[in-house]
Amino acid sequence: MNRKLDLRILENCDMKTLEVLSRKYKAVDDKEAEKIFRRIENDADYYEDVQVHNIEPYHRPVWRKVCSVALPLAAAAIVVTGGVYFNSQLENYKNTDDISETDTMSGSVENSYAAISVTDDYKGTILGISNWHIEKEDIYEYDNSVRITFIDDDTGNEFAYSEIKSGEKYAYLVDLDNDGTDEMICNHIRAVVYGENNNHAAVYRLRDGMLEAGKIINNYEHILEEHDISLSSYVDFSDEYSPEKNKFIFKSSYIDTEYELGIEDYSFSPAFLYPYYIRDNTGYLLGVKNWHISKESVTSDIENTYFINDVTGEKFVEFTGYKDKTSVFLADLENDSAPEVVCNYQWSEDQENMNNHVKIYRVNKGVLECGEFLNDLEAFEKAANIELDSCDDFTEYYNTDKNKIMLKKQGEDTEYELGIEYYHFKPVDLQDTVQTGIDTE
Amino acid sequence: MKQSEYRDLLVTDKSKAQRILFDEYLNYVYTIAFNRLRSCGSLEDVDECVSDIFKDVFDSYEYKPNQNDDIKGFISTVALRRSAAYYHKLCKNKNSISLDDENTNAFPSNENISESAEKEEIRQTLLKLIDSLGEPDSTIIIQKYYYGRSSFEISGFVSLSPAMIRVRNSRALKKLRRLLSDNEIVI
Repeated sequence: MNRKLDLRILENCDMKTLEVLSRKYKAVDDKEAEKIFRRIENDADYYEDVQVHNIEPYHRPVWRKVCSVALPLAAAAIVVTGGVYFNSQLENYKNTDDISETDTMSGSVENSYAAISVTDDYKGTILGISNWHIEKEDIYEYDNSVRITFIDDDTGNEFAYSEIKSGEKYAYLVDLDNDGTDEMICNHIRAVVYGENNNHAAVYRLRDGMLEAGKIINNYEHILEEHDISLSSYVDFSDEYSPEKNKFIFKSSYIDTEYELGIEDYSFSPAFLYPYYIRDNTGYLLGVKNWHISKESVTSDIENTYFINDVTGEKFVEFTGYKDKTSVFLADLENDSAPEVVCNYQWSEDQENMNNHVKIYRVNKGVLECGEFLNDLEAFEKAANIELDSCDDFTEYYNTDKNKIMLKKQGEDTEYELGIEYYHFKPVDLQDTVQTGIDTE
Repeated sequence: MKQSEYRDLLVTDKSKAQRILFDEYLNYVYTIAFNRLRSCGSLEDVDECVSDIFKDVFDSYEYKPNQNDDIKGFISTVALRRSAAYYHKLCKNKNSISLDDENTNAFPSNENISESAEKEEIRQTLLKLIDSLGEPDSTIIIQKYYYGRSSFEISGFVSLSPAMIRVRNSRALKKLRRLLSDNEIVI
């Protein structure tokens, strides 16, 4: 019964069906809509026969254009009923279409989109993230450098950062590899040499839902070799993105020539590596910038662990367990670049002989949620074909090597993978530590 | 928006006028173009076709005054014709023949009218059944199986995580199959 639903019957359908489809279902998301509108705007510029960004303009012969438009239109005219009424209008658009068209035909620059500058005014989607904000932090006062951190409001996680001089654009959005999705290009300051920043570009992109960052640090030796350049280290040159040329400019105070690089010169890897063990100084977590870990003894061998928001005093993560037997990781269980906080803890209904269990914290659409498997056994029982009587009947733990939560029934050796979809998430009721009297030292 | 309103705005603020028209009709135009090119064009082809349709519409309204006030009718005609042109360009149907060919009339139409009517009825029923699943399940089914989007992409349309979309999709699909079976629809 798992075969794919085939909706081919809806293809090339009648107007009535098209009306229903378009009225009831959104066909394009906001990001795609922006991309299409930009394409129209850019193509409008070409009509004016302006040479854009050093791209060699190519004028398609008018007769070819006439043929390519007129013949299919003639065929289509028979297919479409009711079109006669609009024929006079269409005659006109055919004519305007034929006026002059300039296509890009440059081997070196294939991309026809202009880069979008990300500034305080930009409110569009970035890397598939529509709800985001930036935080600014001064790096060095003497050179007015600022760190711009991009935060996903839905997950509370940082997803990119940029280091710029005050007044510069925070980042650029452009589809460098023509895959239909904009990459975001940020500037990272690596060093200051003779008063000049050695800036390096970082290209953020989405691949199968995974956020990747492309840098030149692992690839620059090939460029030096190719152009017979003698430079000793990464701080001897800069590779900044030029929105005017839609290229990365490789330059150094040690050489006279500037070189243009493309996205193919950058090597990509996941932008953030998960899982990692969470400590006090891990940084931005679940949308909280400043926080610390607090422990509270329950008995001689059991303790409660709390993550406390330094600003509000609220507990935003909590779990119980045997001393030195609990652990917390930031892990991307779904490989969607929206990592979760995964807690290995212990619990039992009678507070004795506690078993290993797992709690997951995440920010979903801006709301902090906690997920537990304890409340929802039935679906997993069916999928794994096992019977679980109560939460004391099994153990769960997060395996960092497999990046999976594993479940084992008491008295059995078989381990089952327990997907995040079996976890029941509820909004977290944030509690004030002052009210509960917890020692936050 | 009426053509006269659009034309007034075009005089004062061309960019704003075009943007409003684009926002109002993008879903309609994209639905038409995607519907025609779904099986033979890439998403990039659909994007290109949609942008061409809007360029045609913008140019037409800019250079040709005194047009009919029915913007939607005009846009749908342009969209259908442009999409058909793209379809012929991309799909290169081997069975197609020149309209100038003297033997054209000798070829019977492939269209089976009763079959078309039956298909139309099935489509309407199918959409009603999908609609009966309620939101967000109906959107998930359409986005996944008609537009071919991944759970991650669908999360841009509904307020759910990709994992939850997968779970809901599985349940909605089972329910839809049951409904189709009850209505004796085989697709």
